[in-house]
Parts: sequence; structure tokens; C-alpha cells
Amino acid sequence: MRRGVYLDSAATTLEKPRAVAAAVKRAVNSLASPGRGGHAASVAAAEEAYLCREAAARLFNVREPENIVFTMNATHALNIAVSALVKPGMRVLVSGFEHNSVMRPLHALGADVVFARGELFEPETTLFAFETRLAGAGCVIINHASNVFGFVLPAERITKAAADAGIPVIIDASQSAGTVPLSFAALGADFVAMPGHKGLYGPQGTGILLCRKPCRGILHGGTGSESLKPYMPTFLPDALEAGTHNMPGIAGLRRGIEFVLSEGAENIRRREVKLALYAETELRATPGITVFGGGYDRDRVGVLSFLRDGTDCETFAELLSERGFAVRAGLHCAPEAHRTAGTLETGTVRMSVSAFTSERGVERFVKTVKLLAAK
Amino acid sequence: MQQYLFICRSVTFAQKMSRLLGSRGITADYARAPKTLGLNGCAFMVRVSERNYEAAVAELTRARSMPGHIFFQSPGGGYVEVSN
Repeated sequence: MRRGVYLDSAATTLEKPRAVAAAVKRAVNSLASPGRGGHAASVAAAEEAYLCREAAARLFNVREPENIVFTMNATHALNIAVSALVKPGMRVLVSGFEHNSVMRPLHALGADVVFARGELFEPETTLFAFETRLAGAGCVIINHASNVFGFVLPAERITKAAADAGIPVIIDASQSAGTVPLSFAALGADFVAMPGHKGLYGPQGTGILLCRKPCRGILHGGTGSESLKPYMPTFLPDALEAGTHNMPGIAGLRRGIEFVLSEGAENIRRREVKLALYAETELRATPGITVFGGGYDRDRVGVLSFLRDGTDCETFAELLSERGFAVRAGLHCAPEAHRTAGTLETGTVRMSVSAFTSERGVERFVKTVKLLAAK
Repeated sequence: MQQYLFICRSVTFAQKMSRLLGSRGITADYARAPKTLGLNGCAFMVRVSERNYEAAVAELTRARSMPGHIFFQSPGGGYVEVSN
């Protein structure tokens, strides 16, 4: 298969550090289930899981490794967090850039959702929108970085404002984990949810929930601990990790996190933003193309949305796909983000990069978009 | 061998305790706890030699990580709870 230029890293980073696949392969053949036995394969699995928790704790400045909970993905992690904090009818303040992994759990719970919409790439307006709507809220949920536009919200300042008002906070770090430095210890959020397969370079089917304290989970089952009790353990991570762990995924995820630790999240972000900003600058100057970017390298990650005037976004993405460029079009499972930006009717075409995206690939992409726009 | 068994509620806590003690120069491996010592069913334990027991207790107390149950394993294999 000819891979072409992969520019859909906001969905899944396709190219991973080589150690990731090697660890997955080794795990399939050598790791059993952590905490389920005293034999070598079970102990080896437990060690792998603990090392992954330690790596994640280092990356996100979490004091206790047990506060790193493994999940199936960010959606799973967000469902746990939302179900722990939100009750039916509760007023929940969200940023207006939320993915359906937040909106659908809130809808299912019957939450009273209030939007604190600010202007795209104007973080002060978002902060103001939150600060002026905090009264009466039972929970605040912040999209750290928009998966559609790459806009990084001022999560630290919003969290502080919420914490000062005694309101618990959930941060969706799906698009920021691994690229935007994040200190859980300093942040003060109750939960931070993230996938393993994006900026952490792990395999699909992995995710992490950073937890301030134990809570009731959404899955119930075996944990290899306190087996006599008919209910789940009340301590972390067991309270939220029912059933057999995805050990191949966790083994791969550890190598991905170690890659981020060795490169440095901010270094990765800088490089990715440089590529996205190059594309933004070039496409902004292209007749017939509308870009949705801030025009600067602050408050963003390596994601860029754009439209070709008069062409359906899906059609344009297909034209790019035919030419070897993998992008994503449509609503990106985030209709509220499009509503906030005024692109709900049109959707957008999104290009997104990773630490492995080459400058040459982005240059070819820009050239191709320009050619298509001129037709 | 005479040793002390620090009962941990999960493998993660046993790993954490084992590493904490190891970082202070106290040899402390972990394993599944004997069925009779896992008071709520399955549990793990960290094993510490008699010689290192006092130092281990001091370190765990300092780290606020003392387990709820500690057993002394006699040479004959019997267990006596020394703390709860």
C-alpha cells in the first residue's frame, strides 16, 4: 500500500516510534494479566503496567502512579469522569469546542449543558465566557485543544477560576496530551482524559484517565484484588480498571510516552505548529481557500481546518485522497466546535500533523491544495 | 526464613511499596499473598527480612504508606499478625 502523505494525526498518529510495535509484538507473546497470578508472565505484565503508569506520571506530573488509570480510549475515560461528577439535571459548563465523547455522555445523563463560547483563537474571550457563567454550575468541562481547529484553550486559568468557585473540573486532553505540557499536580482538575493513540503514540485501544481521587466506575468486574467483595474496590487504579488489561496496548503506549518524554512535549508542539502555521500562511494567501487559524504560533497545536469556497469539504478531501493525501473532512465528531466557529453547515477539511510529519510532505500538500483551488 | 509480610490490597500498591523500600536500600520483593492472609480475597504482599523490618516500617510510616496488616512468618511457615 502506498501511504502517501498522512495528515490525519488528530484522529490517529499513524507513524509511531519503532519501539511501539516491537513492544506490542513482544507483549502478545510474553505478558499475561497483571495482578491475576504470581507466575512470571503475570508479574511481567504487572511490571509493564506499572512502568507505563510511572512514565505517564512523569509526563503529566502526577505524584502517585496509581492515579494513572488505563482506559480503552479517551471516550471511555471521559465517560468515567462525566458519570463520576455529573448528575441528571446538573448544570454543566462546557467550552463549546467539545467532542461528542463529552457531549453524548452529558446528553445521556440528562445534564443541563451551558456553553461558554469564546472566539476562535482568542483565549481571553473563552476565559471571560467561563468566568461569567460559573454561578450555578455543578461541573466544568474544558476541551484543552480543539480537534477541529487546533485552538488551545486557557485550561489552567479556567480550572483555577472553577476551583476558586468550588466547582469540579474535567479536562479533555485528547488533542493536547503529548504536545502541550500539562502538570496534573499544578492544574487542580479532578480528571484529565486522553487517548493513547494520538499524541502519546501508543496503539489504538489505549487511553488514560488522570484521577485526583477514587470514584465509582462504569464497569464492574474482576480486578485481582479484594475478590471476596461483591462490589468494586474503592481504591485506584482498581476501582476503575475492571477486567483484563490491554497489555499489548499498554506496552506500546509506554514506549510512545517514553518517546514524548525523550523528545519533550513542547519541542514536539513547536515543530508541529511550525508545519501547521506554514500551511496556514500559504493557504491563507491562496484565492478560493478559507482557513480557520489564528495566524500565530501561540495557543495552538498542529491542526488546521480550511475550506475551498464552493466545494463540499468531503469532496475536497476525496480529491486530496486521490492524490495521496490523507486528511479528514466533515464535522470531526465535534458539531459544537463547528457551531462555535460558524462552520456547522459546511464542515471543514482538516489537516493535522505529528512528530513524524515531514516538511516536504506538507509542502507537497500545500502545492496540491493550491493547484486544486485554481481549477 | 523468618520474614515479615506486608499485605497490600492490590498489585499496584505492592509494586509501589516494593519500589519505595528498594529505593531506600531495603530489599523487598512482592508476590501474591497466601490465601489465608488476603482478608478480602486476593491480595499481594511485600516481603521484608527480619533484619530490615524496623527500617521498612520507619520508611513506610514516613511515606504514609503503612499497610493495614503485617504478618510475621516463622521458620516453620506459620503466620502471626503483628500489626493491624
